[in-house]
Amino acid sequence: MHGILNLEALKDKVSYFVKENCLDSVLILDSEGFPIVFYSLFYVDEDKLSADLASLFSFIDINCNNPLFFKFNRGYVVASSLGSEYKLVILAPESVKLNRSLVLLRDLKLYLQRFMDS
Amino acid sequence: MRSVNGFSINGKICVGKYTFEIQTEAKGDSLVVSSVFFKGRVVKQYSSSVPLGEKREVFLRKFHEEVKRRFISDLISQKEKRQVLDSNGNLTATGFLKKLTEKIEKSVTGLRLMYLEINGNPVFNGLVPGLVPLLSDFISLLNKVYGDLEVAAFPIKGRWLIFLKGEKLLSCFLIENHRDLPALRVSIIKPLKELISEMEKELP
Repeated sequence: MHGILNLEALKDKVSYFVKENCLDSVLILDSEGFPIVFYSLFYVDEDKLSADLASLFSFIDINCNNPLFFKFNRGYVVASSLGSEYKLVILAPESVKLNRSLVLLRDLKLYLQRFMDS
Repeated sequence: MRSVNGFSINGKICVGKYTFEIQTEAKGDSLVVSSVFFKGRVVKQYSSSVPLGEKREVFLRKFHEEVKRRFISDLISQKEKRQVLDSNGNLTATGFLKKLTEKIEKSVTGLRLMYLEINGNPVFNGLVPGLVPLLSDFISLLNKVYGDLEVAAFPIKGRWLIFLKGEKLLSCFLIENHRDLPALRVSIIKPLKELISEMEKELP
């Protein structure tokens, strides 16, 4: 399905959202675990991150109402599904806080959903 | 098999393949002593004074039967103690697991321990095979950027798993009762973290 998506435009939206909200990275994975959009302010192995997350998602029931989260000493990883085919992952620094990361995940999901539907 | 005379009773206690001999005798008018022998040596002694108004011979029989029960339960508790304490009296991994499980049951309702790692060594794993190595890979990838993992939460088969990383422990709990609101799941983390850091003090 992402063949008909304008990936450049999607990446622009994502990068704007990352900068606007002081996030570190946003990753969108397709149903097979491949990254379709990845924007990050620091270096992290995109393929490894996507593969690890996709394998993890194969174990867990991720859906719109059940975002998962990882809290590290200096940052957070939050993720949820984006429509029926995609997974949305946010990496946020500690300053953003967990609650706000979860709110931003929801906002980004709505924002991208509108864009993808249009 | 037991022999009785006026002031003593002899009998046997069989525990598994071991046979102990037991002799209960009256010492004077008010004291009853029961000795348990194994291969001719006394391994345990119990004593009691005869209650006022009770006949010594009657109490002797009662005490003899009671000692049989007490000896077996003492043996069982000693065996459990050996499993939970090492030779220096420190909690073993099994003992720690048992104590942590009991504490969780008492302090946080609706939780089940699913995984426990002490100082990097898995002690208990009730999770889906393959999940822990996968998580370790993912966590080590992000360690470089974000430091150590403190907590993780995600749904599996309609229930929630919470991973907590302390200084010495990595533990995972399953939320038994259904909590669909993320805020509720977050609220359970603080008491769990307190419990884990309290328990870590007991580790060498």
